[in-house]
Amino acid sequence: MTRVRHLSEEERHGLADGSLDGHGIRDAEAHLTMCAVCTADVRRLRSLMRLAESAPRPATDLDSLWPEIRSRIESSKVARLQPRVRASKRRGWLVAGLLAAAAIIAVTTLELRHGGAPDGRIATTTPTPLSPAGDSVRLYRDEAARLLEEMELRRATLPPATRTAIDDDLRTIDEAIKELEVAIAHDPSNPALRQLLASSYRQKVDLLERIGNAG
Amino acid sequence: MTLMRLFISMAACGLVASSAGIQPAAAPPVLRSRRVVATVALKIYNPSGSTRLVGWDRDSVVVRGRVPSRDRFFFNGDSASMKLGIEERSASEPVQPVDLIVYLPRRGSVAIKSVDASIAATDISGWFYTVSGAIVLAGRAQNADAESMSGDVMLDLTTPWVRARTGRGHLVVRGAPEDVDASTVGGTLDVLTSSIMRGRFASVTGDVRYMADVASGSLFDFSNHSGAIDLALPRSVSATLDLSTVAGLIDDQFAQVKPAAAPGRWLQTRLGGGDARIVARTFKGAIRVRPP
Repeated sequence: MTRVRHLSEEERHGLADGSLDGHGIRDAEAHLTMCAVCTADVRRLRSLMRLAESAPRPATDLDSLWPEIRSRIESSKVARLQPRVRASKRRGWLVAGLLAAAAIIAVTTLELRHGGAPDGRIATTTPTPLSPAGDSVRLYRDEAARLLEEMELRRATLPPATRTAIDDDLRTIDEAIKELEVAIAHDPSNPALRQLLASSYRQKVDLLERIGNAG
Repeated sequence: MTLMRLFISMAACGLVASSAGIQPAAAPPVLRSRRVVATVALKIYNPSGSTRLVGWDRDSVVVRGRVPSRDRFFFNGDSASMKLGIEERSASEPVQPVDLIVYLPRRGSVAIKSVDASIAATDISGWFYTVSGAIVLAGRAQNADAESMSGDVMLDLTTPWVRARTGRGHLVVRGAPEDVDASTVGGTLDVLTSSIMRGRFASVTGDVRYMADVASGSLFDFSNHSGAIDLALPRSVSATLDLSTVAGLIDDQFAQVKPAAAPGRWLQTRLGGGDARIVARTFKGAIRVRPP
């Protein structure tokens, strides 16, 4: 008895969000014509994506809520339980999250492009409506903001030459991030830009963690 | 101390190529020693000067060096975990450079931190951190994580996993690592080994240069903002290349077609059987693929 080979998770997602290209899309669509299971799953994914896109955006800027939330958390504290340990645990979860997101980007990037193209094929970038890189950018951005607060405390304890080097490196990364954000504003569906932005934020988080280790 | 001077100094002391345990000719006096388990974990702090770590096949930790009378050397813990080094002084007091040599079991691991002291290790696993010093890791290790804020980092390791970071320093990867994650902010990143099975290399403005063959089935991810990505691959290479740039140029000297004049393109090429997979992307840096 022959076992049916279904489309992989990436292929089904690629079909649903339109990011599958070249031979991949032809093969996958051919498979759908004879596989009800994959057809149903792709239909389900497309409907989920439509739902996510049509979801209402929060009316309030989430960043503006943070100071109030933070002061509420602070006021409800009765005892401080080993803040460094808790911070490192929280960092552990965040790092795990970032690594998972980075892994998704790497796998998605590599797999989506793995299409057996002929030698020297050229194409313009294919738009990808939904990209996991966006999630990792958000995670990295949040982590960078938190680490920046910590860095301000440690920065003062570092030698002047090191402070200068840190400032130069941070400026370099921030300029890269700014350029990428401008480029994304002009071309929001370009997955390469989002991957580069995630990479720049990752560099920033790495740098801020190194500064943290210096203290 | 620059990377090259440190490397030459290590070579002169027989630390790069020699088997660990053979001490240099004019070894400084033993400061302290104790018997430990083979998997001992050491925390080491030496802010200035140099620290050399040597993995050996004995069941003890031995520290050699000369410590100025104003500084205090600490050495405590038990046979499974220890802390040693130079006690931190107040910020107003000038730091005296101290040169330490630490011998420990090969299966042990370290977490070492310095300010401007260079770190050189042979056959040692663990975490290596310096603010502005250089780091040179050689020999065999179970894993290694090397971080410098602005110093050079040179890895000449045989290891399943290594991670390295520097800001403006020069980062060199050679030896026989399998899984490598290395990045700089502005420093040049050179990869000179064909042993890598999983490699992630990134910079913001520094050039990333890969000059080696690629292993069958290996996976590479190169990323740069404005620095170049230069892949010097042998003509016999077997890999699928996925190159993309937003505002830079792609110069693929293997490909029949030259698309790179217009920015914002990507180029997919299969060389040989396409056994390895290489993804390279930049924002405005050039991507070059060429024979060596």
